[in-house]
Amino acid sequence: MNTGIAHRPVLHSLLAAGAGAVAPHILELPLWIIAVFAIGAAWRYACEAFQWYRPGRFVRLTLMLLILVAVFRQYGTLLGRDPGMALLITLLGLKFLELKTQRDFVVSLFVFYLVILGSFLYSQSLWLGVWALLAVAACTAALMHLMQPAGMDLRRRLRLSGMMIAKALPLMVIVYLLFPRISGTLWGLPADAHSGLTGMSDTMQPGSIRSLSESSEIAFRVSFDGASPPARELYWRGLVLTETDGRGWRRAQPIATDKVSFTPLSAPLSYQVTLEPSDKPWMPALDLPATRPKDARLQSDFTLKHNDPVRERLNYSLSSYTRYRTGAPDRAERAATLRLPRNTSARVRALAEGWRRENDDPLRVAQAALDYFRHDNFVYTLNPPLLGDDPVDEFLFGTRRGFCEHYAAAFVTLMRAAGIPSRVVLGYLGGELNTAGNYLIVRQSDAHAWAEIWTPERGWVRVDPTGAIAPERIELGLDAVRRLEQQGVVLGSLPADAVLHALELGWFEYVGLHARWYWDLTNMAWYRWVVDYGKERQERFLTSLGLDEISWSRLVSLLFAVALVLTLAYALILLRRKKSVDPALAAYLRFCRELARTGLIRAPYEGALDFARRCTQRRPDLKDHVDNITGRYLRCRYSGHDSAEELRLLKREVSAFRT
Amino acid sequence: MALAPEKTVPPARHLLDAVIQRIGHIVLGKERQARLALACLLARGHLLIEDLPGVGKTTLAHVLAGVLGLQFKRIQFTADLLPADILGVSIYQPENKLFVFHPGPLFAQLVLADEINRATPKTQSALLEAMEERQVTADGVTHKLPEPFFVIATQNPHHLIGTFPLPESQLDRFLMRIEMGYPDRAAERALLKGRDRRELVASLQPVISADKLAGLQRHVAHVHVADPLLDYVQNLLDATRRAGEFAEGLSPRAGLSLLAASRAWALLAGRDMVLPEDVQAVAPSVIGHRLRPVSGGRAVSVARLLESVPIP
Repeated sequence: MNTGIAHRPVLHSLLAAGAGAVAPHILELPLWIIAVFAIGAAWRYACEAFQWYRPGRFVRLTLMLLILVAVFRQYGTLLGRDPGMALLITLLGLKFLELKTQRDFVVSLFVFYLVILGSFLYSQSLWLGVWALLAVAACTAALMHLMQPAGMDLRRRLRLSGMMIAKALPLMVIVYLLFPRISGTLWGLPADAHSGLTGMSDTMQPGSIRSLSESSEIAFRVSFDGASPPARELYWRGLVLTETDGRGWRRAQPIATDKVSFTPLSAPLSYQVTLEPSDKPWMPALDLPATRPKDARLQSDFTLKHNDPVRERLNYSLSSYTRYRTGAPDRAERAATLRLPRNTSARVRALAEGWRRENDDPLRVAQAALDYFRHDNFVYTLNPPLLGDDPVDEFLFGTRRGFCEHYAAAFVTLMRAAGIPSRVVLGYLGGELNTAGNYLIVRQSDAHAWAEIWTPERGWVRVDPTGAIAPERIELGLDAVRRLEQQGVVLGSLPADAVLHALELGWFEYVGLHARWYWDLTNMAWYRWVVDYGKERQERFLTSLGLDEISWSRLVSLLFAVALVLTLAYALILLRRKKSVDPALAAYLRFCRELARTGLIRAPYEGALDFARRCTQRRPDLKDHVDNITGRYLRCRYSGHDSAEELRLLKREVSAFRT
Repeated sequence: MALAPEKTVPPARHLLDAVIQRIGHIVLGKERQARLALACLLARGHLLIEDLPGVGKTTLAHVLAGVLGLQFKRIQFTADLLPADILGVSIYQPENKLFVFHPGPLFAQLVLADEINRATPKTQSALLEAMEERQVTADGVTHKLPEPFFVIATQNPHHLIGTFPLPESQLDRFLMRIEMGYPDRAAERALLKGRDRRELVASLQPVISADKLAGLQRHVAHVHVADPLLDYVQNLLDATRRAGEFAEGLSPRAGLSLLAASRAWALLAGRDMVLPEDVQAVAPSVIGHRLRPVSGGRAVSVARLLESVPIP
């Protein structure tokens, strides 16, 4: 098989298949790695098309060492997902320069398949699935082109490879359904597979939510068992921030508890959350969660925390009470929620103490603070000015323009200065109801910060200072606020119906929105039925087939049995189709297979006479046999004289024929 | 290779080999073209030769006529040639007060229509109609053309000023279209060294009688075509219709022509059955001029078409 491949079209097929295989990695790997691959491909193309310089062994070796060093410098290691893929792709680019024999081409093509598989280490989206199928079809077509350079045109090759993939699909589905799933991280992704996930960090700096609000990435999806509650009740509790240095806010170490200590005042709401991976352990839940999903803990500040950082899409069921009364904080918690940073300015303290002197009830003090926000020219804006070292003071007395985090931080500082235990809660507010699938989509841009104050009568009470200044944010969501700002509307300046009018969608936006919803629904189905098909779902599926409690060794046997039955059935169909083949042709094809072992391969369009001529040129020693067999075959097949004797002789000579 | 049942074919084969050999003495290095022309004649088709002047188109026609003992007429097509000039006219004869038909130059067994694209479409159609019908109708009287009747038309595809190129539908009337091409170096050397071709043509003696030729033409129809071969031909036709590469696929008439030419080619090879190789050998000449690329597509390549259709 070590024949040189001189056919330029085969090289073109190979390069095209390679581009298809590497394309998804453009999004994941540094550009220079893709560039090395592209340069290798272009160089080889130029060698073929314009007779460029083709590097010798020494140059190639040097280039390889350079690539190794560069990859090592990029990642600090040669092991792991990213360096591995980077090496595979860059060295493929180099491999193009030394492609010579058929074996080289085959090796490159097989590595393409590996590269396609590798892209699933980064993403398992529907798009990528479709792309990978196309790329596999292209590689298979290139493989066909390599094996049979003149046999078929591009369209036929693509069609045939598509058909091969289509025929393999049933087997693929069965293997997918029955192959034993192992729960846990045994076959998990390499450790560096989760970098680059967006999510809420566990501290709040001025501007940290602002940066999240730019991201339209989906944080989680929720489907309620009944009707979904109104938007103003959709406060998704993420984490609670207690400690502050005046600028940033941090979590205190809450106590993990399996029992919640609050008195529900409303009926429970049940819902399922599908959480996108965030590499953080926080599990958003509707204020306040009452149940604890598997592998998660409830904490004393009523947040839910997963035992490990969430690195794969997570499904959990919860029930929550939107009205409640909580107990009193313990002494340490009370002290922590009253602690003011040392640099709190005198005028901030004076403002809060003034309210406290006038009112005894903490709720009235809170109301005074909200009134202050509402009436003293505060503006809610997505583009607040930057703040310096004492952001609360500057915000309250200087800029007065801010975002939910500014209001929450300022409000909690004021409350603490007034001697009321209070804390910042970070989470999400609202969400977009996907009417196509009747579920709620909550995006990173829905991130929100609000405050909680403690009152002796009601325990912890949620107070959202943003609601005082920009009720639109609460009722209509951040997207609406952004669109209003783009139209130049000052928040709070318009009556409600005028706001709704300003938010009405044109038909184009309406269609776009619904298309987006259906696309999201399709993606949900893809994840639910394909990507998330793990051990649990497999068990449920097998149970529905009546196969309870099946051990994995029996599962493997079952898998092989089904695959065997399927293969045999397919073979039977093929064999039965073969029966109708002319016995003379069958004998002749046997003869061709024997000749193929010596490298004499008959092209599908090549007539028997032409083939015989070619054979006897290459192997004059076989001339008599080849001529005899070809002559008998042609007489049997084309002469119209039905001669049983001729056929018998043909079969005998083919059986006796040895190269 | 003992492919032919030796009992029936040898006389035909020896005869045809002799014809080819004799043509080869004068038209040097063009055995393939000579074979195709002979196959075309045996299949009762007409031949269109497209090439530059001076590559031996006329000589080939002359030699064919001479070797086969056919009565030969040459019509030089010009822009002012009228249909009557080739078909013939009826002239009033005062002696017996009758119109008497005077046959034109078309009434010959082998007619060379030189530079057919110089004549007006009207004259072209008259010729093509006569070729198809093998008869001429003048003043309501039908005159049969001689048997065998074989037209070799030539046209120069490169000089198009002042010409009327044959429309595609008319090209279909020719069983084959071939190109002569330049001779190879050795053949050209022999040509330059040898005697004047015209003298050689004039001194030609027929190898075959008209009777024998008619017999061979009948024989062509009896060359066996097996079902697998019909499958192959149909697959080829299908491929031109489905490829999307051609403006339109081949017509059933093209299929019949392909089969007829393949039969003649098989007979020339001394076989009484058609093999896929015969189809492949004549296909470029038989279907090349019946296919047009889709607008903007690449040029028609029959070789590529053949490579895309496996032999069943």
